[in-house]
Amino acid sequence: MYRQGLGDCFLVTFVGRTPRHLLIDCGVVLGNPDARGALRAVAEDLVRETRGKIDTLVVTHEHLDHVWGFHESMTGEVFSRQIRFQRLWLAWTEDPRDPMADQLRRQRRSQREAALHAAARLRGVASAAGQRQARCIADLLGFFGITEDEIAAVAAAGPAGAPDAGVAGAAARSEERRTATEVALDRMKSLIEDKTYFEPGSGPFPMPGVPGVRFYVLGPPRDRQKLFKSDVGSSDDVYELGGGAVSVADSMLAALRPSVTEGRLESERGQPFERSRRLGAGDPVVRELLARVGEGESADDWRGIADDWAGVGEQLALALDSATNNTSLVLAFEFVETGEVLLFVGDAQVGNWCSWADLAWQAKDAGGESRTVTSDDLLRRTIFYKVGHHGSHNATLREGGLERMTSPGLVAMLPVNTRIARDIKGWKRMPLDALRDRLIEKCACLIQLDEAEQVHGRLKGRVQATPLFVDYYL
Amino acid sequence: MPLFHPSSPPRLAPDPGLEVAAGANAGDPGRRGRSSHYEPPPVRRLRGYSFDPSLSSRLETALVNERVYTIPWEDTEPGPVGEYLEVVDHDPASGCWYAPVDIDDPHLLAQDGLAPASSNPQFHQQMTYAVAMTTIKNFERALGRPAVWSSRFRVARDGEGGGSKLEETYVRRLRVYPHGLRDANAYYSPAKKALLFGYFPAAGAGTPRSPQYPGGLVFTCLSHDIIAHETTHALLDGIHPRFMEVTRPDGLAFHEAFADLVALFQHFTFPEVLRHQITQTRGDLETENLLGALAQEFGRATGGRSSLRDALGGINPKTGRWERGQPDPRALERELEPHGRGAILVAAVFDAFLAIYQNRIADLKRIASGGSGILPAGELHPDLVGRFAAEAAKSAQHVLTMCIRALDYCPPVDITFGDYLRALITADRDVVPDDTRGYRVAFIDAFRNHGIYPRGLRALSEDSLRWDPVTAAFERSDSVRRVMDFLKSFLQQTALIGDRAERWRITRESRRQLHHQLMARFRNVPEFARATGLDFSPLPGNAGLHFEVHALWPLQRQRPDGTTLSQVVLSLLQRKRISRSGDAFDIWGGCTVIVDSGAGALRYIIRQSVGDETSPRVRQAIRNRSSPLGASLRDTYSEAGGGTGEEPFALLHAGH
Repeated sequence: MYRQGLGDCFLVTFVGRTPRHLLIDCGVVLGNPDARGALRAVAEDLVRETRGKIDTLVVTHEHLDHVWGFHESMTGEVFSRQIRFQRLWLAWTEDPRDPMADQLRRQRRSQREAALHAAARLRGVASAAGQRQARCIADLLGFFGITEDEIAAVAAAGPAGAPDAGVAGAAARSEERRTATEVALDRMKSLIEDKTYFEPGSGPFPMPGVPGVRFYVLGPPRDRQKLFKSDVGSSDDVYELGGGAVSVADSMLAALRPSVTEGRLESERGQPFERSRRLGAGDPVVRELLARVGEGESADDWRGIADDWAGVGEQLALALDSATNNTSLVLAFEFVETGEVLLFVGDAQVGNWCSWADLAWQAKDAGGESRTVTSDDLLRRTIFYKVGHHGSHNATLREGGLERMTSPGLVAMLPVNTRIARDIKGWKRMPLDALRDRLIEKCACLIQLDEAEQVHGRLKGRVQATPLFVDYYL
Repeated sequence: MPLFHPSSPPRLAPDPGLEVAAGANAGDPGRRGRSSHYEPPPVRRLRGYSFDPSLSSRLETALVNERVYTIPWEDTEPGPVGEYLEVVDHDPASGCWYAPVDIDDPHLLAQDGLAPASSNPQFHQQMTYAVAMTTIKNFERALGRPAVWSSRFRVARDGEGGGSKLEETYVRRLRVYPHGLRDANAYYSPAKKALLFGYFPAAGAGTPRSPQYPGGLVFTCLSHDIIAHETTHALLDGIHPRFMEVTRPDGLAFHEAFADLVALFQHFTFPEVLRHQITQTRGDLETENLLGALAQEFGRATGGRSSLRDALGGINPKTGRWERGQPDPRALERELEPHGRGAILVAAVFDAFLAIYQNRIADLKRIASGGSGILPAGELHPDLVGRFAAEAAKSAQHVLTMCIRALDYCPPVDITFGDYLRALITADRDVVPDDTRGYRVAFIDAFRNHGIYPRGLRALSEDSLRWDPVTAAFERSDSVRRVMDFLKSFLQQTALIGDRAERWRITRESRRQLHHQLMARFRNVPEFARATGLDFSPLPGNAGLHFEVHALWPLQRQRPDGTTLSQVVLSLLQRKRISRSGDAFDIWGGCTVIVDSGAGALRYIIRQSVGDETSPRVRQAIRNRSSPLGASLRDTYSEAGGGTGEEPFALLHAGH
């Protein structure tokens, strides 16, 4: 595990005649101190460590804290010239030819744009609530590499929907905004010829070049319900994420950003009533109504709702964030001989975890006998767990997850920098204390990115830490 | 404006071209008066959807989905703006306003308002007004007093010293924004004293069971259930403004459950729908029906398989078929999410209702089946449908009244479902001393089946569930008698005041005086602290904790035997700051006091002690603090690290 900041970067080396390297993600969050320097140091160390040859690159999902390192502006040509990747593994959600993936991507784009415009609008709001919401959205958009400057630029382009913004103003805010995360991921896709997009429940596949090791694909799920489920609690027919959020995003976008069709403003989109029903704020009927309910006389507009609706942007941004986390590719690597499992979950959230229960594989055991393997078996035999989403509350399932990892030799790596998460980003509950406490209690060894010098657990003798990385030897 | 207007409304901004002379209304100055030679009508009739527009496009329900809401008559101005509500149709997302409907226009009066139409924003205004007023009326009837909205508190600067103090101001009307949000959401904003309703395009084409028009706009302000639900939040906030100070999982869950219950039982006041559903289910309301389901259109439009919530059961995801829910006495221990917990309370009350209904129709079934009680196959006789419907409507009205009435018997803060059961039983016993129909037993039974009961009782019986009456010695004490005298004069003051604002003003003044009296008389009486659950122990450098006289309501409840129960309900409240490992937070406590003003007797003191740091309640609060219940995604990313934020209901209701 590299210690670049708040983000994931894992190098798994299978020692043998020729060591085989597997790199899982490389990134930090927006606002990470000296992000470029940190990622560059990681990249250069990777060149040394792997002698410029990495067999497999796994990118779990398209978030800055997992892909920023692959962006040319961060690491220059290290990943294109100094390291050669044999193959790239991605989830089916990144497959450009998959219709469902394509639909998800389009939905995500529209949610992202809606959140972006909501943040832009909220910047101009004086209320503390509006400011807080704007900050929260900006933080979440940061996961796609969208910066405050970009939000400010959108805000400067003028209030959406206002006729004076004009056709030119609307056109300037193009549909085709490409985020840093898209650019980074696309770059690796074009650099590496051999790409595989994995389906949940597929495998076990032999690990190329590593005899005795194979891997299972657990997530992301194909089931939309599960893909959009970010949290525990809400039962089947209580509020669902997803479907609703997407259509809401569209209707918000229609209000926030008039789109241009054939050079004409299409501001009618999303309007609930026909034009003749609509009155302007200056209309005498409106002024009369406001006077009647005691507004308009004083400046004390404590009941006004002019900006409340933009607060929806915060929820959209949250929904978008977790929907993206849930597209994490989840892989379980198994040593056939011992049955031991290494589990890498990316940032999978509740719905992704829940979906594994339905999976089963046919695999030959060490004796050559064919057996049915369930996700439960894999969890039970897990001896290494990469803690999901930097230890947040909804990325490690309790009963159906961590508590089923019953191996006495369980080791966990928690890629979180508490100072960056809590002090810089203001995410006070990352990592969740209750989860961390349980990990310390449960695991034979817990290695946390920012505390690698003080490892917990009886197996801590196998840990070796340097300021740049921390190694664990199985 | 038509020429032959019965009178002419004086407006604040009169339009000289259209207005005729302004007439004064003798009975009610200051409002928009219409001088008339006739008595005002007792009720106003307004057309609306029974459920929501989606049922009007389904053949089997289209004919019963329109109904006429009858609400108490009041003069209104365009909005509608009345005594309780002001509908302000601002749609900021669309950057426009919609002209307010004038339901007092004779053309509309003559045809019971505008016809239901989702394309007409003025009908939307009329529908929200009609349903919200229906809900308010139900509350007033059960509570025996005028409804008030929670006061607005704001920081006001002191003139001289430059300091600031909290100023309590009266909020006459609840603001209603029928198109305030572009979102699959609707909520009550306690800060703005406003209901915000959203609209959004439906997701997907629905399911084979319930197809829908993808992308069609769904208006939450056209759903009876959503309007009733949100109005109930506002009404409940007016009665118990501190129920949102959550230190237990039941606080928000109770708010949700209660709002759902009101919406559900109002279904039974729709005569056409009721008859239709009784016919369809052959009188067996335990099978799937529209009456027990909430927010049909919203549930489907946000991607669900059926209504948003169903008190009776749900669709089994494995079979895809509807199944009756089974009570699980352990569910409450597992479920911590507010909607999930709330659903358990809703199911329990609904089960009690069904038992009462079954009980009430048992004789009818025997008569109709030659004594066997087993109805023959085929359709029911229309007369029998009518009788079943009448019994269902009566049972529902009784249960709804019981549920609302019990609010006065709850502790002022930190309610648990178990407390609510005790409140239900005690309140009902005061109004209906002999329970010949077995209503209370039905409630106890249903709550037990769902695992809802208060802890620490000797038995789960009506007697032990009733709140403990005040001891005679305490009641006879001289100080208590003086307080009773004070209440007597308060009652005389408010007796003939019909104006809500005036009542509020007198009440606030009386609360101040009562606070003064209690401070003077009881501050050093340990018995008082014990009885009220307040804490008067001196603090370092300070005289002791403040407390507030939080509510003071005179009320009159109609008993079924024709007598009236006159009561005064007041509550005392205290906030205590507790620090635990460097973290300071607030614990609330206090009591609700119920006085029988007819008998001049102090009846109950319902306590939720402020308590010390070792009490289970406080320990729970500390636990919640470190790992809040219902922790949401927002908590991970929010700077405050949890908490309900500015709009506690906005997230609770969000449809995505």
